[in-house]
Amino acid sequence: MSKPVTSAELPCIQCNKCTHVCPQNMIDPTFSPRGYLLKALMGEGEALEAGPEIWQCLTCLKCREACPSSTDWVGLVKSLRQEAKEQDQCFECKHGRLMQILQRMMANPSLKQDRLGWAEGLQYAEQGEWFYFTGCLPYFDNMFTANSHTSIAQATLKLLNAGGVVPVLSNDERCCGYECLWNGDKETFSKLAKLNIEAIAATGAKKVVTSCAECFRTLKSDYAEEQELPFEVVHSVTLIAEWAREGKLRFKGDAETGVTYHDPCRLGRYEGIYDAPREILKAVAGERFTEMARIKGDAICCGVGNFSNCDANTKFLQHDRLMEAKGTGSEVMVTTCPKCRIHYGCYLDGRPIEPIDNLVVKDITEIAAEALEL
Amino acid sequence: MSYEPDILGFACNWCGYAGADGAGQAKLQYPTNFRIIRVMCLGRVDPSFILRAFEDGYDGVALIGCHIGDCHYVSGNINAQDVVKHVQGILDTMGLGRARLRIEEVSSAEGPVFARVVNAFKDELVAMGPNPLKVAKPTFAQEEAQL
Ligand code: SF4
Ligand code: SF4
Ligand code: SF4
Repeated sequence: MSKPVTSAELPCIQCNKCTHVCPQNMIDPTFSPRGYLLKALMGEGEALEAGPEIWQCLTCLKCREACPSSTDWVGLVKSLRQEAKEQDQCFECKHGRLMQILQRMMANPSLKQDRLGWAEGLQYAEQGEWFYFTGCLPYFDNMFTANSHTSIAQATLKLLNAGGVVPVLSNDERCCGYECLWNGDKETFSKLAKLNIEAIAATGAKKVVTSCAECFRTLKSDYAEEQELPFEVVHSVTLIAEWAREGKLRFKGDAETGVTYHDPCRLGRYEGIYDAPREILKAVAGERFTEMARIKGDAICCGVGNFSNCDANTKFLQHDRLMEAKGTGSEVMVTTCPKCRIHYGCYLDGRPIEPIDNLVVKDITEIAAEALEL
Repeated sequence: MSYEPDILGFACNWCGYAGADGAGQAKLQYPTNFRIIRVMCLGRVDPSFILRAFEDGYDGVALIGCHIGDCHYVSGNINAQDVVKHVQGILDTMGLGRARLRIEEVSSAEGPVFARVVNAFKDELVAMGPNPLKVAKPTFAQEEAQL
């Protein structure tokens, strides 16, 4: 580590609250953010940089929520990863860092994508006030085959159309760069941010809608750190909830299945959006919407932070959460982050510790679009 | 200078690679820009390997393995077909086009078939033009100047 960490930067008082709430620690008792912070403060940051701990951290921010001194452990993880990346000490992900390869390819300005096939038959524009940032959904269909992903894009577009918005879709949109940012590749991230901001600005859009919690967080906060944004960023749930309140969108409200809601870390703890998705679910499922025990700031992670970790711990975490969802008597666990669904879908489709019958993971836009009253 | 596509081949130890050997022994011509990585089985080839090749500027990637039913590990080549199908989908979305990736069946005794499929792939790639992600390679003089 280039410079030692001071207690002014990390005012940790070693109370161990973070370790108690940490989902990684729940599965593996040797994983202790408090312990790692002590190491960093004692000047042993280099050992941390080379070790697996900084990649095992899910960057879920639960520790920060519990911390009485607002110590930014996740910030330390982020900067240590950047330094590890510079020395080529990154951990291999389960997919051979596929996401980051795609992102580096997309960061090349010569690339001319052909990514709008999924929108056939739906209304969209080339110029306009609204931009729908689809993210990597068109790619995921060929990467994570347990679920369809463009179905989320189609459902979002349907909801936007029903609310009277014909958004811009662009072939020049690229991946938001989330995995690169969180795995230490700031350079690629900055390139992607620049290209995306340019592409969006070129369409004249002033409002950008995303249907992904990670895209939302990245565009809204991380892009804004790069440069001032010429547009406003909203997650689709905020819009849908607002339109439902105004009566612009009406839902049938007679869901046949019970639903419960999983808070993704990027929408919840990072951006503080807890109520909008619940409003939508109440409108869609009425009485059949039930909560799990660990919700909002207390929700646990889907088990994979930024494709930087996925191991047996991940599977135990996923099992724990899915059993909790099942325990509410619901058949559908709804989320607002396509990546949460990828990881949970992978668990259900792969080799679960014990089979979990009659439970599917769906995106909120999918169930809202299905329940739409036209 | 005419355009010579760079092609990366993944060839399995038992069929594809032996086929390449056969082509060499029979002194059959195939493009010099075709580089081969030998794998024990095409089942080893991960989507990330293929995409990394395109990221690095290869114009085409070919997976060359056993005929269906002949895989030494039973189903590695069937899995590889699945991988190829999905990566082709990714290449379409990226705008590079699915035709830049293919999978071929060549047995260890089929040296001439090996030379034929590689030559045919090269001709198609020439017609497609270079991979848009290709970074111009520095010339020897430029590399020297950098030192
Ligand atoms: S971010 Fe999450 S996984 Fe990482 S130390 Fe904090 S609570 Fe644990
Ligand atoms: S909760 Fe905060 S103060 Fe307490 S040990 Fe963890 S980082 Fe330190
Ligand atoms: S849980 Fe996620 S990271 Fe792990 S193998 Fe499945 S899709 Fe990949």
